[in-house]
Amino acid sequence: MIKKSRIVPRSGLIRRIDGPGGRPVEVAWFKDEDRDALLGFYRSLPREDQLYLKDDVTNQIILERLIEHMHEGLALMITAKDGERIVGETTQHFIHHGWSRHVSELRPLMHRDYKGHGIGEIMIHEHIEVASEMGLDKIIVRLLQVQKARRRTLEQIGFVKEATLKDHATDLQGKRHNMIIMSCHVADLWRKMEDLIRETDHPPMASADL
Amino acid sequence: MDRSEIRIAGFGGQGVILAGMIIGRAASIFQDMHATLMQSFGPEARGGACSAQVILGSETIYYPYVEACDILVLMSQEAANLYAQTVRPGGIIIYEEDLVDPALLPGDRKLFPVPATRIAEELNRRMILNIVIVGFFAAVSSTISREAASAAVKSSVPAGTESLNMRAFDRGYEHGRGLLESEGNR
Repeated sequence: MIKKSRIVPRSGLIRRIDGPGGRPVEVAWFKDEDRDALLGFYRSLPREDQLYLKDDVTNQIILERLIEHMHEGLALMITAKDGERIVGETTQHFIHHGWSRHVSELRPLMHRDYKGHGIGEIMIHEHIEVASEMGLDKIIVRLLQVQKARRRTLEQIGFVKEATLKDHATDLQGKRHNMIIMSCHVADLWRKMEDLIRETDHPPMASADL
Repeated sequence: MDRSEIRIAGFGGQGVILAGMIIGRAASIFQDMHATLMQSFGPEARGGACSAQVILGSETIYYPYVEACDILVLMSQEAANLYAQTVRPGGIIIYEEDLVDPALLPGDRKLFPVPATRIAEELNRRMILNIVIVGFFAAVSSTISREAASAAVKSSVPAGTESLNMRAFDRGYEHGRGLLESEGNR
């Protein structure tokens, strides 16, 4: 059940992290001034990575529509920037009506050279907090079964595989792939924290290992 | 041998023991020190008295109980009444400023108030007040480094909650640093 459903406008730097070669990468909320850098990022992606985009945002008109969605509270984007260049983004899409209004969908996207530095994890954690604050119960991510590294990352964050859609995606060579839907039950994450505190403060025995 | 005797006390459900575990883990796993943790509980279940004794040392620790407390962390008035006098003169008392009356604390110890509950509430999760305390502890106690403590927090909390827990840790740490700086400028 939705306790509240509102998007608080967010801006500014979330965190600075070391990227490849120790170069600083800034994780921050999207701002309108980023639109050219964002278009450049989408267009610089290899064709197979572009398939992961929900909409063809390499097209400026469609990108403008996404930005409009953000203004309307239908989506929230976090970007990762190396200098002025966007090297990754993660967008959370909200559904404000219907059966799944307690669910949001996350679409993480990272330039290949910047994977493995924990940048994506920071962005996803931030989105989980947003979902939690909004009273959403669940976040889903769609990925291909072959995207094993991405799946591992999501599992480490607390996502679990929920469904497999057989032959649901087609790659550049026309090959069909199974699609996986992974989900994170936001309230459960904090229930685990509550359980941890309760179990450590009131265990049945009087000692614990460090 | 460097040895720090620490007691963290409050009531069940505040994350007292978890705070002790994180401090011990920071020292023993992320800072190449030795650590022990002992815990004790009141007769009640939820909400009862609860305390953790953490010993940190540069060498093997053979006696895991607090004898002369160097650092006391107080998260309830009941804990303050019970333990405030056990801190050695010159020792440190960290206390939750909305839950503990400082007028009742001994004056010849270094007192460090922290609004941990308020900070946790500002972050929309009251349950992470213990993580605010750990951050504050790392800042004012000089026993564990920020890096070690932050790594211990990350490895101790459930997956998916790291981000907010780290924010709580950072807020506690910054509050502690700010307090030390303002004292230094006095």
